[in-house]
Formats: sequence, structure tokens, C-alpha cells
Amino acid sequence: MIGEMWSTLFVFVPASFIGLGVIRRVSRLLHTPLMSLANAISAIAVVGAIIVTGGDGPTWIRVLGAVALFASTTNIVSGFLITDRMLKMLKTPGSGAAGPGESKGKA
Amino acid sequence: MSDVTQLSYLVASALFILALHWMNTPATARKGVWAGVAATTIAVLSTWALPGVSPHLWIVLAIAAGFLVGVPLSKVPLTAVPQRTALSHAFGGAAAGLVGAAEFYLGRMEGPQQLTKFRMVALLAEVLLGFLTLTGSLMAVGKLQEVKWVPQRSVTYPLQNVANLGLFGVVLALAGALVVDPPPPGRRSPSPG
Repeated sequence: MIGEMWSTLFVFVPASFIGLGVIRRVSRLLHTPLMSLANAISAIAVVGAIIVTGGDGPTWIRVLGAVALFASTTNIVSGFLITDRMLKMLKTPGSGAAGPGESKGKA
Repeated sequence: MSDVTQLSYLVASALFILALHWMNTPATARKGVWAGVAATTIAVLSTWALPGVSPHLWIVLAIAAGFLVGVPLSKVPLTAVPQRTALSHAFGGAAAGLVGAAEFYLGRMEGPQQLTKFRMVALLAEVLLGFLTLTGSLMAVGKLQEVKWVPQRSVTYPLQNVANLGLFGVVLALAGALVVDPPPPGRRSPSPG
């Protein structure tokens, strides 16, 4: 069990630094889509929901899993779709790569 | 868990990091979305294929319901995007809290060696933060959507902060008690005892 705790922490700490490093220089234009993408990615908790729903536990526990699975799937589907929709809007002809109101943004 | 499952999780993690990295600039941003979709699909399919995961109908129904609600939610007008984001946070919190609660009861049935102190701390943090996110985000949805039974003014009462902090203290104390003195193993009963 000690092994489990340390191996989990060995993933957790580097992952925190990678997360910080990867998003630190995101252009201002992309803050909203990034938030929405991160929201969709966080729905990877769906993996736990699948294991609980498909497990051999009693029915009421599998119901909890199924509700969680429904909620996470909703986040995955709407999260990725809406992020893509936002990004498509960024590239509408006329406004160029940078949307209106972005002139004061420092990239 | 087989090597194949672990390998696919490793690939999915790498794709998630790439997805966030590609969101750095508009030129690669849409590629980032596709990396995220690919990573999620890989993780979901390899979890679904695990030998311990059996009743496929439940999973199919829950995923289908998720698509039914998720697709319309992604088509809301731009003015409603803040509410959608808040609702999405509420769903995410609910999912985390429910999975945490389910894992606790499953671990309790399997025996005391399952609920180590480390796992209890992780589960309690998951459940506490998950349901805190659920209720808080639902309030935010109500205010942003201007639902009529959610007042727009801020609701205050005397000693509000003391009351809230006190309640949070009680929750932390209960959580601490569960970690220090884990519950005895439960039976496989039809309802939580």
C-alpha cells in the first residue's frame, strides 16, 4: 500500500508541473477555449464511472456509476464540440486570426 | 490490468498533454481538440474492454443519454456559454462525488485492507470537493440563467461566514474521523446501511 501511495505521488507531482508548463504561455485569445477543453479533458474521470457501472457490485452502486457515466459523457461530448465551435469562430473570414478586441492582447 | 490497457492509458496521457500544448496557439488549437477526442476515446474503449467490466447495456444507455444531452448543450447561443460551463462543472463534480462514494462502498464490502488511510484521504477529498462543486456550480447556473427561484441579490444573514466555516469544520472533522477510524466492513446489502 505504501508503494501505491508513492507511485501515485510520483505521477501527481510531475503532472502538476507539466500542467503549469504547458498552459503558461497560452495566447489570450485562447483562454476561453482552453478552459472549455480542460473541462472536457477532466471528464476522463469517466474511466472510473465505467469501472463502477460495469463492475459486479450491487445494483444501487452501479446506478451511482451509471449516473456518473451519464454526467461525464455529457461533459466529454459537449465540451469537445463547443471548444471546436469556438475555434471555428476564431477563424471566420474578415476578422483574421485575431478576433475583435484582441488588439491590446500581448501574445 | 493488462499491459495493453496500461499502454493505452500511457498513450492517452501523452495525447492529453499534447492537446493542452497545441492549445497554445490558434494555428494548432483545433489539432489539440482532436488529440483530446482521440485520448478520451482510447481511454474509454480500453476501460470498457477490461475483463471485470461486464453489463454492457447499462454502459451503452448511460453513454447514449450523455450524447443526447451533450450535443444540444454544445449548440447553446454564445450568450449562454457561461451557464453551460457552470452546468458542465456541476456535472463533473457530481460524477467525481458519485464515483468516490461508490468506490468507498465497494471497498468497504471487499474488506478493511481495501480502505487504506491513503485511499480514504483521496476518496474523501474526491467526494467532498465533488459535491461542493456540484451545489456551488448549480447555484451559479441558476444565477447566470436568471432562474426565477434563484435570487439575483446576494443572500446574507448574520454570522454567515462563521456558520459556513463551522459547517466546513464539522465536515472536515467527520472526514478525519473516517480516516483515523475506518468503518467496519459492510455486507453486500441492497441499500447503504
